[in-house]
Amino acid sequence: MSIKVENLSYIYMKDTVFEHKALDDVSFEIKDGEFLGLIGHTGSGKSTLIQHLNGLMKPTSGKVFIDEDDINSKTTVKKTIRERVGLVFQYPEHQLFEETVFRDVAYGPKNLGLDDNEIENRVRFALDMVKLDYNEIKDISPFDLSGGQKRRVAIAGVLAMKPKILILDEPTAGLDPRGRDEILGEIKELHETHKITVILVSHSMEDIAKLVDKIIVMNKGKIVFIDKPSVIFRESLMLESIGLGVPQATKLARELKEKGLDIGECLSIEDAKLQILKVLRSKKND
Amino acid sequence: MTNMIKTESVKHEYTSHTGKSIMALNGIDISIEKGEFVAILGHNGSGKSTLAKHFNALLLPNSGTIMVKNIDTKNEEMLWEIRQIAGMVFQNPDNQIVATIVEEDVAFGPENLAVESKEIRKRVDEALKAVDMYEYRKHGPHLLSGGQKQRIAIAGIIAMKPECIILDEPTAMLDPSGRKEVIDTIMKLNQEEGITIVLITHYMDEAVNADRVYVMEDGMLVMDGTPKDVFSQVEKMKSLGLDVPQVTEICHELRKEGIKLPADILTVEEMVVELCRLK
Ligand SMILES: Nc1ncnc2c1ncn2[C@@H]1O[C@H](COP(=O)(O)OP(=O)(O)OP(=O)(O)O)[C@@H](O)[C@H]1O
Ligand SMILES: Nc1ncnc2c1ncn2[C@@H]1O[C@H](COP(=O)(O)OP(=O)(O)OP(=O)(O)O)[C@@H](O)[C@H]1O
Ligand SMILES: [Mg+2]
Ligand SMILES: [Mg+2]
Repeated sequence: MSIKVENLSYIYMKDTVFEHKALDDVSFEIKDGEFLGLIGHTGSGKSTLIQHLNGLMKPTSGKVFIDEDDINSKTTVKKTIRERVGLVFQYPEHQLFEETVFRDVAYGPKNLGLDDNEIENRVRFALDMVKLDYNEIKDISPFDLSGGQKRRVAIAGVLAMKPKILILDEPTAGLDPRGRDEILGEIKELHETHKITVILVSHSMEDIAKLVDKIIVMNKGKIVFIDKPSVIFRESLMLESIGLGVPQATKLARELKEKGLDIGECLSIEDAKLQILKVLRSKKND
Repeated sequence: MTNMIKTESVKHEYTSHTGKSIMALNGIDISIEKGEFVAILGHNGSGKSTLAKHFNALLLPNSGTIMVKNIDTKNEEMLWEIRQIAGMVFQNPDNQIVATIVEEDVAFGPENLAVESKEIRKRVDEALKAVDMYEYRKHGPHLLSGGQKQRIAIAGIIAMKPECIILDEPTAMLDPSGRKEVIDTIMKLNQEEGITIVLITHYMDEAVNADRVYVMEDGMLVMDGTPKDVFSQVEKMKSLGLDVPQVTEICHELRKEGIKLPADILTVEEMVVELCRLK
């Protein structure tokens, strides 16, 4: 499924002293099956933007299309949009409200009108994706869980809906490193095998560099760049000037290059290892 | 040296809503010196937040003792003293916001401590400047973005001038420069004001700045040492579900290929120096 955003602007608390333009004439397109990263300083408008993509927020001006449907037109059924576009909120644990983990994860599938058998399958699938043991956790109250465990349950609740477009707002904040790598790995695989469209909002430049095909960079409510990770992370000074950064591996490569070593762009640990080995080994053979 | 926090054989058991019991802390002995900067790492559910809540008497142990500046946290009469010595910034800033205007929110703590109003004004301004949110002082905190809220929560604690600040994943929602500001702020408070810091984090590169790193697993402390001691054990950290800074891992990979580098490189700067020496 594709997404098209045209000249989208959003003003919070319009006509009050607190009036704030959170989105300023934003336009972009995401093709079906793309894995997109959305980065930007805190307050740059990322959460505001993605809440427009499933109709939770209405633009002050501009349009949002999912495939061909203008999602804010009167003839579009809101419910069908929310079924197609799954959104994991920035603080998803606030949305946990059921008595058990099972019922919480089952909430969405139930609303889709699925039968009990399929609901259970969905819950098992989703808990497995977030690396929680179904039998161990299904009857526990979400309120008895640690911060990271709650977050996993909240992510599972959206995955259980099997949306065609999956939007994740800082999904890994609060997850431990292994959980972060495993859950992002599962999402990447879901993206590859089921060709779903994914939008990942993250402050982790490392995760973004590792996962996405394309990055949108936001600054003060505007889109300032859209490009491949290898191109975006070449601009480390620009990124730093707007509150962002580059992965440590990229920074290392850049500083080694400044010292005269023949090292190109690096986005990952693997890249850096190979490039540094090449340089060191060629020196030895000289 | 004097102890800020000292625990002995602390155990804590939760009984869940379904009646099952979970041993969240299973014999913790830790002693944190005054002025020390300590980082606590561990996978989800390992007991970090539970331990942190014992440090300012939000939770009491089922057995064992916790002393905060030699005050037993079980001593109910001393509760306010303890909370004034050890201030806490939680995992989630939303739960900590109490007022409808940012500066009132930051003033809430010192007001409860009955600080006089001129001094409160001064502390609020300083705290907001320290987290770079001064220009938002008249805003509504509920209307700020996630990262901005986190900085307000930290300012609220700074304004109470505690001797020890416990931060439970304070940077989880911040952008890279926001994270750096908070860590710089924490280090400044530690180095210039001598405030004892306990930082719980899932970001390994933040723990690099600590004097001492503790690793938790299943309610127990399983590793402790300087950041260099702990992070140079790359395989062990990974087996505990944790990680090391990217440069430390690159260094580890290069060492496996036979490149002669020290095992305990933690920063890009150190790595650049070592690699330039080799070429
Ligand atoms: N309900 C609201 N009312 C008024 N202003 C708001 C509201 N929610 C957000 N804002 C403001 O709009 C701007 C964009 O906020 P948004 O939450 O979209 O940022 P973000 O990029 O998601 O930030 P973060 O990385 O911190 O989550 C911020 O300046 C914020 O203060
Ligand atoms: N209020 C509670 N009632 C019952 N069990 C709880 C409660 N709070 C936490 N637990 C359990 O205690 C254990 C330790 O939880 P704690 O919150 O201390 O972990 P943590 O290390 O802070 O994890 P995270 O990294 O996810 O924040 C977990 O197994 C958790 O499920
Ligand atoms: Mg946000
Ligand atoms: Mg915790």
